[in-house]
Amino acid sequence: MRRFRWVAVFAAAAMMTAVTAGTAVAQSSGGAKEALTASDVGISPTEIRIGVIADTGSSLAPGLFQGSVDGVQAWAKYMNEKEGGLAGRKIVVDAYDSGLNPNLTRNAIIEACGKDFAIVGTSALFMNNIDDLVACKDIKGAATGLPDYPFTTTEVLHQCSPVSFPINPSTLDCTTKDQKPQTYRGPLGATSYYLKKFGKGSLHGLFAYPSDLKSAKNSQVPAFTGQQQAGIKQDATFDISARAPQSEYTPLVQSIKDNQSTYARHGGNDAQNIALMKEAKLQGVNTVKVWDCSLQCYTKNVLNAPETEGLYVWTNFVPFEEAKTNKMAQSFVKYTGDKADGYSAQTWAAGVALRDVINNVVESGGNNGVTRAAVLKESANLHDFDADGMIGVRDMGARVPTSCYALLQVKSGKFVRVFPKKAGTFDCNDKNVYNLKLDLS
Amino acid sequence: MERLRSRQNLPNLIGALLVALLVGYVVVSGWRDVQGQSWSSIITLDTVRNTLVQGLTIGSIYAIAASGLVVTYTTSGIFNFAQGAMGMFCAYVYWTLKVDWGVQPLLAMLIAVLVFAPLFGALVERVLMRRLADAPLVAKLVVTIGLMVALMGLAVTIWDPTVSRAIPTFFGTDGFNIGQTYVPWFRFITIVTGIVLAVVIRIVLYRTRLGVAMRAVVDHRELAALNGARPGRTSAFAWALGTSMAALAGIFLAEELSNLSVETLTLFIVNAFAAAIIGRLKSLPWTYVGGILIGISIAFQANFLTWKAQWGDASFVIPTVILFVALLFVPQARIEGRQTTSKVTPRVPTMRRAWAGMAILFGFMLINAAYWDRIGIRNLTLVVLYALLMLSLVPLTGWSGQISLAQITFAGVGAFAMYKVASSSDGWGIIPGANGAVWGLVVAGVLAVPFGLLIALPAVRLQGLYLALATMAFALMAEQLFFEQEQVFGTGGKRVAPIRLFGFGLNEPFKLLGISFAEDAAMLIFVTGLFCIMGMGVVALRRSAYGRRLIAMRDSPAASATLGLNLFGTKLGVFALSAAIAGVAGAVNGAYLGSASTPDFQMLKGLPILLLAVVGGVSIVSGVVFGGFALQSFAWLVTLFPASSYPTLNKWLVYWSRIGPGLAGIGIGRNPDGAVVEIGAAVRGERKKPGAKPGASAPDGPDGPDGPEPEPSGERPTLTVAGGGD
Repeated sequence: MRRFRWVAVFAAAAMMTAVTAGTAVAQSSGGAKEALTASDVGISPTEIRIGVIADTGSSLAPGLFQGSVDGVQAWAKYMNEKEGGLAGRKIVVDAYDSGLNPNLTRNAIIEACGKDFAIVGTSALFMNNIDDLVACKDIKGAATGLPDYPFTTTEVLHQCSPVSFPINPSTLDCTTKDQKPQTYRGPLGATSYYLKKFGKGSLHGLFAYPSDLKSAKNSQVPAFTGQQQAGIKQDATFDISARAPQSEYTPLVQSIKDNQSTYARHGGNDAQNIALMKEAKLQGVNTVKVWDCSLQCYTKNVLNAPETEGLYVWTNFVPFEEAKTNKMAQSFVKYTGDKADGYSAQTWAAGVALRDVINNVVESGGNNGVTRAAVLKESANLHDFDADGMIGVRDMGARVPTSCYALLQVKSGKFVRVFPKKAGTFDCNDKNVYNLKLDLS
Repeated sequence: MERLRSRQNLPNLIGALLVALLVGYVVVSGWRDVQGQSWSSIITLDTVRNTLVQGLTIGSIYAIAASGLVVTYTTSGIFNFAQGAMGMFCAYVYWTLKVDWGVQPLLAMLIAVLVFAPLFGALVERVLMRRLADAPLVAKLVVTIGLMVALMGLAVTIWDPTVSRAIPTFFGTDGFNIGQTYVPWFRFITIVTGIVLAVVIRIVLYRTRLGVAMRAVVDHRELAALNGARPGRTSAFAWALGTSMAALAGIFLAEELSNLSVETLTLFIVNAFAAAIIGRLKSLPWTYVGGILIGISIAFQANFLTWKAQWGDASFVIPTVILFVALLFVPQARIEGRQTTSKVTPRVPTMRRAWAGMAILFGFMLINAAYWDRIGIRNLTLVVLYALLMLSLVPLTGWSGQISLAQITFAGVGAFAMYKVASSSDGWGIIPGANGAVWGLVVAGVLAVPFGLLIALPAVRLQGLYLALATMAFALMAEQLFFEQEQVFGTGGKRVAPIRLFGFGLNEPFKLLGISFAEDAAMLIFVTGLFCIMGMGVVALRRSAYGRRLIAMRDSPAASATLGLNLFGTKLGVFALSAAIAGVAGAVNGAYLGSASTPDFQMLKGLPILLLAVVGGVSIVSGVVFGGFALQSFAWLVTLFPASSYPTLNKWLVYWSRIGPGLAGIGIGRNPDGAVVEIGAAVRGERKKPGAKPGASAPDGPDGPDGPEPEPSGERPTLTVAGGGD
């Protein structure tokens, strides 16, 4: 039941790489003159049905991944209004509540398999069994699988599923998942920037792990290890629960004081980062030069807490404040309105990934060539994806995370860009990723 | 009796020894890696002061919440599982007043704690709790659990959970230093309030006329009334007081959270149960000490222990371990359940009638297996699976009166066995190639038995509420320390193979008599058949001498022991049986889902199982079938009417799914015997009139060798036997 607290962790832990908007040519009406047919499950001459499976209605964490649903629905509306739908057909979205429940999750997959052409923005924490996803039958009865472009993938099974192409590929190299140790590669965030700015050897400090869920902690281990190898020395590590009240952060803060730490990073969600900074302020900590957080801290919650002044936040999508610099980001902000958040941004991007894949299929096979098999085959070629510049480039086809980031800092209740200086851009240096072997099985 | 007592001390000592060994091992292996530093550099005045301030703050919150629990229990005999939820609700009201409406902080606090909370508490007492005075303990527990679930659902319906909310602290970051340790005023206020409340409430309860009346009411309501006390009013006052304390705890805790959370605020207080038990549910000073002990323990581990990966979750179970130990060491004389028998006595069905009932159920499911699509079939399968798990409660809770919150744990053990024995991946390899073998279910049942016996050891001396809390602690410990181990379910859970019967996979589609059955239909038919067989076994057991022994033990352990009944063996036996049934249910569940993971078997997931089993009627098989349908209906209805097609209806069904289970539980206050018993009695015209003696509706006697058997009923003498339960 604590699992749902860790959404942001997974989102943050799996930021990725890759490329171009070149494939994003609006081809949806390319074959408009041919008579449209029901080329596969979920496709009719007039409609293409897309599912989104998300934990939204659980009484324990209601609305947990509502942002994912909002993102996909907004993307579909945008596509229908601005790009003429997909493959000449109107997009219809079916939202399934997986309710933090393995049975509901599996039922949702079964239902989507029989009703939808593909699923986008999947955000279900109990994807423990993907048999029905992988063996989903197409219109001819062949077990081609259900094309899946998920946002959250907590289980290795799902991360490395042959039919899943996560918008945030896992840091685990799927080819090594059964080895000991496994290979992990992922983003170091703004580590290189910090080391350059404050000097090598000057940063040392606290690394706090979210401890409620082992997979959440495991997702942070490679990143923290990578940062330490890059040159940020570890003074202390702590495990702390998402449910811990602020006073339980006292030992963490005491450690910062004892070690005169200059760096602090908490792998938990925004609320946990706020609690750490609140306690630090309370205890008069003034040595920390870098309070570091990935995109789980890109929230209004953080801006509303005065104690977060100075917090560095790195994202892999264009900050909403800079939406004008990128057409796709602008559309996203317009169509999601006040529902825009980190979840909706990434599920929107997952929708754009599907668009690119389908457009490529249409280009070669026409609007009636859009089948699950063709889309799955084409998805493996989605190597340089950046959702028309809205997100940092990544290799979704090969499931390699991004090396791109944009660094922001909280200043006077606002997110202010720090690096790279130019709005709407990312730093995509190869040095921004770690590559190491660890045994986390 | 001496023999009985010494026999019951042995498991107690074994339990204590096991816990001591476990704690010792975990602490030694968790001692912070000092990397060459000396102990004196770790244990400094600063770290000790920090530990104390942190521990006292958290401990005071626990102490305040636990004191509220003690106040309501002492004065109404009801252990309020909803204490945390009531505190949570009041904290949200406080947020609304202070942040949303901009009311001055102190005024908002006064309104929330001294106006809203007392009114809320008095209302709960008047509407729900007063009618529970003579209800069985299980009904009392279920009503408070139902209240907790309903309040959680109501809170997220009123306050959109996707919106972030924070409560600014009193005096902001101002505070003072003790040496190098900074103590903010808001924490100082929490600590002082804890101490003051412990003293004041103690004085109110023991030195004032009102307090004496409050305690007299719970001892003997009628007698207290004859002596001039006003039971209704005093009881309402107690609940008002208890709720105010819950509100204070909720608000103090909310100040420590950077974002209000329904779940965190509600469940945090579960840790306070240990403090209440240390106070033996009557001593406020000891309750305060208990709260502080928990707080200091948590602070100690945070400051001085580093948990190795294997014991990464050990810190979460510190309050649970304290609760378990406290229950083991509470003196026997204090452990005295106050139980009441049913108002309406369920008939024991004839075997013929039971077979007919099972045939109807089987036929119904068979028809549905042919009619529904795969989703419908899977939902119906879950209905039967829930009923199967609830069936494990029938002999245990329904007949022998032992309340267990650990059935979900036994189910988890069963799923683990199924994964290990009958799944190809990473199994024990007992019989190679046994993928999906149905005999895995037998192993699951057998493997769950030792776990049942393990929990039965404290059950031998614990009764009623204390037993319920012990099983809860057991379930929480198993969840954090056993299931999460990599060798068990590990990080991402384990795959469990679908059951195969005579080479046929039960998840595969098939044709029979020209009728096509969808995927998973065979599983539904199999699970229903299994339920029918096990249900018949349970009915047969009820009609046997063993069944009568269980009823006798429930009605009067003292009298049963006097007549030579082996209480020790009987209790062990019924726990073993119950665990075996739950284990089989868990194994089938694993095979049905295709996976098993820790979140599937968390203690909290087991609460609705108990809740709806009692709602349906926990002493009869048809009652748990009703419970299974009821439990699954909440989620099913929402999917039957999706938002895309029925936006308004779906919205209301979502609200209903959040609050409905809780309301059903609350409804038990009116019908403690469960819906099926009540319906049956109404149909037969046996509904008890108000004021009639309990058990008056029981049939007169057996009507033949296979005829309905009257369940022993009526008022039990309130005998207390040291070492023997009530």
